Amino acid sequence: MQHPRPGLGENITYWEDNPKNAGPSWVNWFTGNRNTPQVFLRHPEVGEEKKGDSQRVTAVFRYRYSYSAPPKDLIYRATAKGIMNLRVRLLRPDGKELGLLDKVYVLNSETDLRIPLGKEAVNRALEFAQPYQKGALTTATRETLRSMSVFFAQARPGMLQRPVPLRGPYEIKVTAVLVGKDAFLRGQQLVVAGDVFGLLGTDSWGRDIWSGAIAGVKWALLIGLVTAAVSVAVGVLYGVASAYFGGWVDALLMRIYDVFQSIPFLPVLIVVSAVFKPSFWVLIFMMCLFFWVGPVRTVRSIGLQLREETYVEAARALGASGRRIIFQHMIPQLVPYAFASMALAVPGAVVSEATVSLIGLGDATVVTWGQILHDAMANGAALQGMWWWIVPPGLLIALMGMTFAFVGFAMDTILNPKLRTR
Amino acid sequence: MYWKYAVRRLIHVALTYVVIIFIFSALFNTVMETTLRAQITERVQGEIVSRTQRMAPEQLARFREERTQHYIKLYHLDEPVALRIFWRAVRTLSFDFGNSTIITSSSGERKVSVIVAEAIPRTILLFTVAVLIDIVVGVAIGIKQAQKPGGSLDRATSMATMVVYGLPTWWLAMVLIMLLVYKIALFPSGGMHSVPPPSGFAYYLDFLHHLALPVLTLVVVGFWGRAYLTRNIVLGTLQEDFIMAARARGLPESKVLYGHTMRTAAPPIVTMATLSILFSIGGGLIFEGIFSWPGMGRIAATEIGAGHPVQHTHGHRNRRRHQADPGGPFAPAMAPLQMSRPQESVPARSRTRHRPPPAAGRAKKTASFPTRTAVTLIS
Repeated sequence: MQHPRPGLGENITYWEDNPKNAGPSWVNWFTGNRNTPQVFLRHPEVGEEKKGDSQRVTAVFRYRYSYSAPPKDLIYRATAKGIMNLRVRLLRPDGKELGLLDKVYVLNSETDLRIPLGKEAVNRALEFAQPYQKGALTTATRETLRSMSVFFAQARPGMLQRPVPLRGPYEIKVTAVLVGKDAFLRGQQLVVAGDVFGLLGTDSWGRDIWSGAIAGVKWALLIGLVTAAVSVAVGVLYGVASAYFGGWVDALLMRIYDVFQSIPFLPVLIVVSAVFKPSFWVLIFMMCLFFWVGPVRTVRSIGLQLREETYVEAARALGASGRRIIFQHMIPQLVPYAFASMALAVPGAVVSEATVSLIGLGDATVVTWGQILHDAMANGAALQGMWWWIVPPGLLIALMGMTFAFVGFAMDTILNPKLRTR
Repeated sequence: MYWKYAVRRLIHVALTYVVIIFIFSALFNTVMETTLRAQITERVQGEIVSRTQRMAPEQLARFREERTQHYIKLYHLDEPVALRIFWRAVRTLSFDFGNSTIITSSSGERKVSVIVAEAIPRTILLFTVAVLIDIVVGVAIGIKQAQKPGGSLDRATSMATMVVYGLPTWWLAMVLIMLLVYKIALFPSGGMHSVPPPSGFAYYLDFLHHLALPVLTLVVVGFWGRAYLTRNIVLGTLQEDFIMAARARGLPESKVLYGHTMRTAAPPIVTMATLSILFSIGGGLIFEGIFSWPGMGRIAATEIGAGHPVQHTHGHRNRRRHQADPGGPFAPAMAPLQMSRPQESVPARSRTRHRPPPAAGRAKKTASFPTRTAVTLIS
């Protein structure tokens, strides 16, 4: 089985050949191989012959066609230089052979060729279908003809009106005659442009959703872990300080805490992002600025108990500084709680990022699940029933939330023996 | 001396509120100033374009000057920043919310207090109803879980809690809309009523029909967490010594549970429930956007972002408009949300065929006229 082209780079031509709004390939399992999946034929049998200044390069692509709907196109790609006569022939399973392309290219420098054979061979398709046609072709037929539906249909009367797919092995033979001292032709590949694509299909720009979803994992992890670690660390320190120092310090800190607790996150972020260019790190910073309040209350109440412990009293009697007591005697008691709440804070951060991205305020330069969902909404994926664009990113958000929830709840049970069920 | 404590807390709350209003006032003033000025220039330019034919150049210049001054006065940009921040905060604190420039209530009023008074009941109907259902279901399941910790119900429900722990509610809303509105036409896609709304008893049925899917979504996501918390609280209490003593006295299990355990476990549960009922009045920015629910979240979103009037009819024309002319930082946000909102009169089947034109990528962000209301609405 040929795999879709892997890798997601900065290069936007990466999805140039991909079908748009295409469902996943495995939809074919349920529809009886209806749609042709996108296939990249990258390893043709290449032959080379050199005669003086000219050379002859041949390539044979083999493709097994077993679907009902014909491919959208056959796209030939190569890198070449020099004067080149390029001929492409299609050998069908019924033994019929037809030329798709016979053209001369003059390439003064190294050029990436991208030749959509379907478009080039419209007239050839008409010629091929003519003998099976009663009378002359109407203009409408000529103009709406898709050459691929002729090439991949059984040659018999009525093949233009009601094409029956001709399944079997096809061969696409490329013959190139190059003239020129440093002429070359390499990197030949053939893209069978299909209606369904890869593991999770494509979006309205032809971008591969599986790649996007996988690329989203690292960003979600980064956002989640950094935000959770920073905000919980700050919150724990804040709570302990508030509890340890007490008095007016406590009162002041708790008022500040109240203010931060009461400010709604999303509206502020919307306003702020009108000024700052929405960037990844600004977003993380803003989330830390609002999420540190999470553990404060609990930590403070634990801290108030710890402060009265005899070992803290002993340390104070020994003349230990406030910093020493906090970091050596109180914080270690809070570490397990801190880790549990860090784990439980990760999903919150991931969901927040997705929410912010959904409304178009995220960092558009990184591929996060929220960005994918934003694009899905902006292009009416729900309306068009493109579930493969909406379901996977959300499921991954939920999956990541679930993972950290398992860790967090498990820690919670260990820390809180009353919750043990055995 | 509980009342002393209560009074102190109230003073603290009031202080916090004042501080927050000032923070918001400062945020909006400083942040929106530049964008506001740019918008004024743009708007005046727009007014001028239509007059270039009829007016002489010097007349035009004077007109430009006049209009710019007019808008600068309208949005109080001629006053010092500190003063603006201060007075905006004071006005807000004295419940003088002013008028909205972009939203009108259904009766056409522009007074913010009227608009908010209209939106709050809608939000309460959606979110508070959902919270009430999820309290009833959540607490009932939580108690059942705690009675048999480690049992199959407990394990299944705890598992489900973790599964939905990181599930974005709006995503579930999107999926359910796709499934139950477009694939299987069970529910309407959004809004509060059909257009035009039916009269008589059918009006209420129609309303319930529109209410069902959003409430269902909120409850499905909401009650697991509450069940889990209730379970933990009740389970903690069930292991206290006085419960063992009650059992030792031979009291029936229902008496132990409701007479002894719940008496101790109820206060935190009731506190939590009350808090979530209170918070539900704020509505949800995203959630209301997805369901086109004209509540608090929606007006906040519109006020913060859009420079165009709120239109609840969501016809196709609106949709294009949103794409072509993003009005504010939130407009590109609401635009995609409204994408899934075709006209109500179009039957669900034919909707799926309709392919909207591809959006022009990520809409450019331009902030628009924020009004005084923006501060009040979200604070």
